[in-house]
Amino acid sequence: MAARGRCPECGSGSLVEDAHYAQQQLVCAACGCVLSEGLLTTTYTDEEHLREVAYSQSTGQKEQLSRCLQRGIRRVQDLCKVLQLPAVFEDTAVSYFQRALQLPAFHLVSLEKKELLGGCCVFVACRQHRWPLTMGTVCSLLYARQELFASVFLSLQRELGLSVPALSLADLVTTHLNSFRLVQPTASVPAPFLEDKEQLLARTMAIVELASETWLVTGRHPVPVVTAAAFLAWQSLRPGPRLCCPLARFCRLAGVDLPPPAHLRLRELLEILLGMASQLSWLRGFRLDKRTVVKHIGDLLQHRLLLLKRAFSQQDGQGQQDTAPGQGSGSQGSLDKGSGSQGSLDKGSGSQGSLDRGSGSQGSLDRGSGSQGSLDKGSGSQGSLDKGSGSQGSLDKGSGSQGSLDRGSGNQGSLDKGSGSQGCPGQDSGSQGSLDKGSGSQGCPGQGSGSQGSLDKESVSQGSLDKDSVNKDSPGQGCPGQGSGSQGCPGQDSVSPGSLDKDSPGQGCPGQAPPSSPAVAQRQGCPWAGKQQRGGSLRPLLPPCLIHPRKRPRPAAPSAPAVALTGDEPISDSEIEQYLRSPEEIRAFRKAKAWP
Amino acid sequence: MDADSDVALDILITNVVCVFRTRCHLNLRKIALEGANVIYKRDVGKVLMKLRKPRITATIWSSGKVICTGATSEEEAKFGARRLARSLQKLGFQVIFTDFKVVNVLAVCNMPFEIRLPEFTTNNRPHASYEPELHPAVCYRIKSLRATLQIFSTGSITVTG
Repeated sequence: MAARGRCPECGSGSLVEDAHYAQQQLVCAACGCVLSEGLLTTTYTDEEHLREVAYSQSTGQKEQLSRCLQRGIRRVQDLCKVLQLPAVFEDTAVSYFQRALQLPAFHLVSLEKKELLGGCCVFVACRQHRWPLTMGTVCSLLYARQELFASVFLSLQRELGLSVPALSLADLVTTHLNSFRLVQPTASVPAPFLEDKEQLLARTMAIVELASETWLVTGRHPVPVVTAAAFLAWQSLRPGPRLCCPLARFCRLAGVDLPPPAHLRLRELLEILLGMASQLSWLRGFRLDKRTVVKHIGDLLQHRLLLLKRAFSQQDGQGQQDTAPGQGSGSQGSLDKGSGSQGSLDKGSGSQGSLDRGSGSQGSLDRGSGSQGSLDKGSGSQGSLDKGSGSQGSLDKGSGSQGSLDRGSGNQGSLDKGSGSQGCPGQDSGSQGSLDKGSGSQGCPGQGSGSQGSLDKESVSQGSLDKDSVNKDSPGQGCPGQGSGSQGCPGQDSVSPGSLDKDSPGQGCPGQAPPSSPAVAQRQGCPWAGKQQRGGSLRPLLPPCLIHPRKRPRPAAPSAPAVALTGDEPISDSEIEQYLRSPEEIRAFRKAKAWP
Repeated sequence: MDADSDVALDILITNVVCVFRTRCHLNLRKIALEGANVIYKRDVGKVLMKLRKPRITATIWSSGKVICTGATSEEEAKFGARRLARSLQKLGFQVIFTDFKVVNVLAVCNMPFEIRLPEFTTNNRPHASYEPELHPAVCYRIKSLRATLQIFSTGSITVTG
């Protein structure tokens, strides 16, 4: 309260100086009468003292967002809207963008890079929330070059110290397939080419998993792999009319871009599938090429675990075993070991147990164990283990019934069947694939015996089915032919066979224990069988670039110099002469006026 | 993994990059005219000179800074750099060989096993970075050594730094 006199109206002495909208006024506190007012406006000279601090340094500057930042945030928000991302992503991306733009690394870069920075922030936000967004998509939306985007992304990751989790392949498959236009009939897509989304998705996932198990995905761009897998899945679901449609046409129909590496991925996938198909017992007789194998993709995927183990030598033992059909017993022993190594399939071990059972009975009962017991049991030897395979239809393998038998059970890999579940003579189905797979011989009823040493050596021949593999896979398999008292389940084949054999060629060799005789039998069993198995060019499961090495050999490591170079040796003039042009050359050059 | 493996891993140095200064201005035209095995890049203002004996490519700027690449050991790099300085001396420039420094060494190594890159990345989170869309290898940085390793799925490793 200023004591400057009294209010003229009410006479009170309480006068207040108040600034009403920057205009100084003397007001009476009692009645509100305005005694005097200050100047509303000031001149430039009056404001001298107000110009001490520049605007850019005042706090007003900091409160307001710069135009560049505003534009960038708007761009980030637009990008999120176009991609139909949840609001959380937008907030995360905007916060990253604001943080990044304040850093010197991003504040002073070109406008192009700032635009890409917005895209990078959205990309990082998506990755962190497990949303499968590819760099290609973002680059195409921003009309940006991939290399520039990559450099901005890496520097953003480094500067902000963000941890960006890897792209999830499963989500990518789902998202990518959603963009395929093969569900609704349109003018350009004929009826036979339409496909149900769920089925296509499931099969594509399976193929992509197969690819990732066989070193086709590591280090490669994920999108071409998914495209190639989708193509194969689509073809295999209805091979008839679709086999003649090439990859390029498929992409056109589906309305997606065809990435250039997709052809290579397709080729690699087909190679893997052909390798696996060579191990499928019911396909062994056929000459499969990259077109016809597509028809069997369903089966191959169903039994892929076993087929992979069989087709691609992961352990040296396996490969060797296969190669030595005659080894029979020897191999069996090894097989057992092999199987032992496999662990699971070790039915062999299991079978051994069973064998024991069988041993009592030897041959017969092993069904449970995989039927090996059955014929082989007769021999009391190994035979049983292989039974699994033996079930192949006992004898019929040849006829290809094995396949059916084995299939029946669909046990594929269940090798465990051997564990005694098989017991049932007729089980055929149980082991299906397994037997056939790899073991090739599994089914050989006759063989089982051969290997088992049991009676069947002769039967081995009959087994023939077992093709040399007998030894390997199912030493005892099935020996349906065994007849010898094998349990009488000649048909058992199915039971264990597949399973047993699959995993460990040797597994079947419970019988291996008993040495010798089985071996002989087996050898005769199927010398050709082994070869056939082999025919599928077993190769180790390695990344393709190791299997097909570069054409230009890398210069060999230089041998250690005889004299250790110190770097300070004297240099003679003669050495230097070679690096200087002679005067004649110089004159000639000048004459030619090589350059202005 | 045994501490002392039976199989010795060969690590092969494939490239050594070094720099030195000549402390004098160099006339690039003269070098291009009178030097053998040279390439004159007029647009960027440098001359590339290739030496045979230690297989080295040198980039020469008119300011007197020279970068040598292609040597297979540090000693070889120094020898090659000195040779180059001597050649420039012969051409008539008052060259003084100073500030020699090895800037980068690149080595290649092969592991006898394949590597699963996604699992490797998740186990070595802060140091390893893997972007299959950009590059097929995992980039592993060791800050203390200021080194970068590129690890491929085939087991081949490239070390720079």
